[in-house]
Amino acid sequence: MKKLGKFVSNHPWWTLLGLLVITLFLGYFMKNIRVETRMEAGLPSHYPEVQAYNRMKELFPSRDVVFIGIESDSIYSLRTLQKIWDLSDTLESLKGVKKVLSFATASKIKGTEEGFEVIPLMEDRPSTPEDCRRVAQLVDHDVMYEGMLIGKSGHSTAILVILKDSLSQDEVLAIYKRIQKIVKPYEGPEKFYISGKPVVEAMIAEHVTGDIRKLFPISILVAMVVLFFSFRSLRGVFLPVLTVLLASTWVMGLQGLLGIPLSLETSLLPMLLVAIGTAYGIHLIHQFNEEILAGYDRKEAVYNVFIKRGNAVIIAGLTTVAGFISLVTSQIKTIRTFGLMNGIGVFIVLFISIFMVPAFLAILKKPKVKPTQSPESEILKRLGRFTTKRDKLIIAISIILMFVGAIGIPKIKSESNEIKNFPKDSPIRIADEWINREFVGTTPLNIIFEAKGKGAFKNPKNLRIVDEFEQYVKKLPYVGGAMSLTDMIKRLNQGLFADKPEYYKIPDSRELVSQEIFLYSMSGDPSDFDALVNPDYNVLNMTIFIKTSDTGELKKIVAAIDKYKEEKLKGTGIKATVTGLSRLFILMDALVVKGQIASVISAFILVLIITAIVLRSFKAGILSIIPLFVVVILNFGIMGFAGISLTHATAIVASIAIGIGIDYAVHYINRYRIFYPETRDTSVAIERSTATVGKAIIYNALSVTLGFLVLTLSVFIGIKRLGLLVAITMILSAIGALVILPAVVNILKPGFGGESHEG
Amino acid sequence: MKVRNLVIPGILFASMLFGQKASDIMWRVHHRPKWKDMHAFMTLEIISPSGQRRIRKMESWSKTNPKTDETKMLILFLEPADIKGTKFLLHEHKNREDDMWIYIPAIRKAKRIAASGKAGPFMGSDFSNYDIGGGEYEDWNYKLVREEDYNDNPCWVIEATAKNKKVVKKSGYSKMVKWVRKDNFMVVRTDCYDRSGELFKRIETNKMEKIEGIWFETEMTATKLHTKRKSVMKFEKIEVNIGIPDRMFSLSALR
Repeated sequence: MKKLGKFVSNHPWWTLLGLLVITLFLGYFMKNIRVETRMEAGLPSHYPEVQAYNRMKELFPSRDVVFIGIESDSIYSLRTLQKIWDLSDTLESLKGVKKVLSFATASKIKGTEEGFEVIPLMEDRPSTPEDCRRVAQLVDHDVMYEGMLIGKSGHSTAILVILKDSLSQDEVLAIYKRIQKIVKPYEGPEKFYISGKPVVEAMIAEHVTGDIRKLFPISILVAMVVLFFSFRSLRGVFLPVLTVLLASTWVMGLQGLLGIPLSLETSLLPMLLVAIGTAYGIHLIHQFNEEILAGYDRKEAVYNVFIKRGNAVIIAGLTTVAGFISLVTSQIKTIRTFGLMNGIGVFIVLFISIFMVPAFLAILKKPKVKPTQSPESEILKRLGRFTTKRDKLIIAISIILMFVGAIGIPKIKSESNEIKNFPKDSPIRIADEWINREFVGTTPLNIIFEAKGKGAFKNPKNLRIVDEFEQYVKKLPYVGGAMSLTDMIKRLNQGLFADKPEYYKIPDSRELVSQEIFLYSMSGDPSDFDALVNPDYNVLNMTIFIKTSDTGELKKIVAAIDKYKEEKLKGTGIKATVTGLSRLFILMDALVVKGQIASVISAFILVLIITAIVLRSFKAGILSIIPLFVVVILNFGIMGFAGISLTHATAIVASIAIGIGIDYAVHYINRYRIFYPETRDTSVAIERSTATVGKAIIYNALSVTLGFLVLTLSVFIGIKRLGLLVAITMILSAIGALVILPAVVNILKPGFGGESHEG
Repeated sequence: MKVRNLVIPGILFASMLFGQKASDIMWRVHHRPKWKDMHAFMTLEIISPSGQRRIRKMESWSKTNPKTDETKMLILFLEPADIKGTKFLLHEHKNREDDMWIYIPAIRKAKRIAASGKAGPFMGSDFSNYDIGGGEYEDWNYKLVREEDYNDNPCWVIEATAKNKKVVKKSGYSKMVKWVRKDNFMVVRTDCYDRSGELFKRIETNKMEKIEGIWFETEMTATKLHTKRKSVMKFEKIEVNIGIPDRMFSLSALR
């Protein structure tokens, strides 16, 4: 500290130049930042669920489908069918689109005594009522279309835009925007709804950058207002703001340099740095002002700032870093990256504060500082007295609150479906919910069946096993439908035997199965099989459409499938793996919960170690984290009672609360340890501690609270709740430090005195 | 000296002026002389990006009516084993849809099938039905873009642009660029552009033979440029003008 202090007070210009160079260097790499919001990107690749999903994506073509739902009073009217034709035609020639499935492109198997045809529903743009009747007749009662191209109400149909594989997210977003533009002129009286996984992810990506653009200036503004009330001077406002601006540039630049994409979580970085980071500058400027007041010149004052406040600021920063770093224990990559980058970010703010603020103070004109009134306020003094007098009551209330909070914990629901991150009245959520209601569902579950030997799934025995499996799955609750190769084979067989209903079954010989498939490949589009079975016919993909995104129900479905699999597939030589988007949601949920527990525990341990070392007393360390226990339990209790689900966004709250909340307790205990040796009276020491440090804690907590409340302006429900919860926990942490902690100290009367690092 | 300096601009000028020339070249490509009949063994190999191969073997007979220029064709499938004995019969028609039948040995029945979209893949390969059929001369606007050597053979490079949306839909191509050999009017390479105008497929002629005075492609490869999946089609033991009887191509011969 002394060396640092000497360097900065002697060479302020060099210090500033150095910071400028780093800023320019890292700022340059901000251009490399890209956005990545695909769920798979956040999941650890060594999990069997993720591996199974990736394998499925390798084996079977793109499942990235943009779903355009069309609501019309009559889906077979000339007007609607013409719109479908024109839209499909335009969409098919769109860059990045692999295929379009709609009434305009679909065909139907039609069998007669002498012929077998795969005929398109529409040969050309419909122009007469007969053309429309033809479509209606062909579609009628064909199982292949129900739930896919015809909605439940009978007043809805769909255009499925299947995207090419390996598109980047920017490309997907561009395609989605094009689609929106293309669809727009067709609106009315038909209503169009656009959704699907790529759309949801693209929308998140767009709002992530939109959020930064909107929220960052607001949080800077809020910080400036808070700073102005704190200092009423220009430098008091601009130095901390400049610090966080530089720090944000560094962190974002670092992300660009390291190629770490921006995710829903890491996009919060700039706002969090503003909320957290201005505090360090505040402390340093306050100390500088005090030194000036004490009659030192600028250089001496800067040096003294390092000696007297340096450590305290660094400690406050390090505990916050520890809180974020604790998130590294999560299995979810995006949370881990968020924790790491935020840890680094706070460290950078700390670094810049310590160099830049004093360097500027050394250069800028000596300020005129008016002596402030005695910091001991009457109200706070009374608060201190109250905590010593009513200590047992406070403890009792705290314990009751913890119990109540604990009751709420089991009520917490976890939620991983990204669509729930959008407000209920947002177009994308409305579209998604309408589509899920009308059609088979946008978040499928898949079963991958594998058997030995080429052509295993041309064997009628194996096909029947899969077919029975499918019939079982279809009867499970919340299953909207299922689709596999067996449906196609049954339909082909029926077509070959003149569409007689009794032939809707798996044929008896393997040759016939092969020849039917061959027949189809000669008269229809053989790529229709691509999504159903691999070219060697030994891996089969069954798609199950789920009507709920409730993870609990999903788990039940998976469990039922697993049980059936154990019982019925034994000894058949067929292996089945349950995978698909829904399966990833379940995994994400489990990992969020697991990661939450791990990160809370490790945050407590890390913070305990740091405070124990800093305060040179394990006892003091324990004391400082006691109020945090109450805060963290209350946080989860609130989530449980208010129905705020645990998501990868809200899972971050506890770690932030611990990392920042600990500062208040540390400040308090530090102050207490100054007063206690002086008075040797616990209650008097508490009274004076509360009266002197109380204001700083309340101001600090309020500024962080306001900073996080800015996040409630986000588009995303998860982020809004994150902001709100952190704000609440900050207030609770301040109360914990000023009410619960003194009460505990008063009862336990820990006899520590010794060294303090503050003032 | 002066004359040589004028040659290249002269050719460019001529090719701009005579867009007609490209159409003439393509007319000759599409109207090469044909044999009376042909018998051959065909192999269609589909190679996945990971190198997995699927092979189909067939025996084929075809015959062209010199008066109407309509071709009849019979294909007997030999491999893979589970479709062995399956037959495909085609009667080409100039003024209406072609007739097609498939004989299914497992039920000992022939079924008439309707033409699938021409843009669709040929037997699940990377060739489309349109590629195999050779395409139609009238569908395209031709432009000579340059002249260059391809595999040491002087070629015209001709751009064929779809005349209208219907052609795009039918063929699956918005544009094709063809390398046509100057000495024998054989297409040695075709670059195919999809409906969004993106280059996605390349067809190359690996081998050609001159049989009874007529050039014929005996080996071709189609490669999907994004996925690297490719298909190779080979003709072997080609016999021509052997006097195949008409009854070979009758519906009753299918059973």
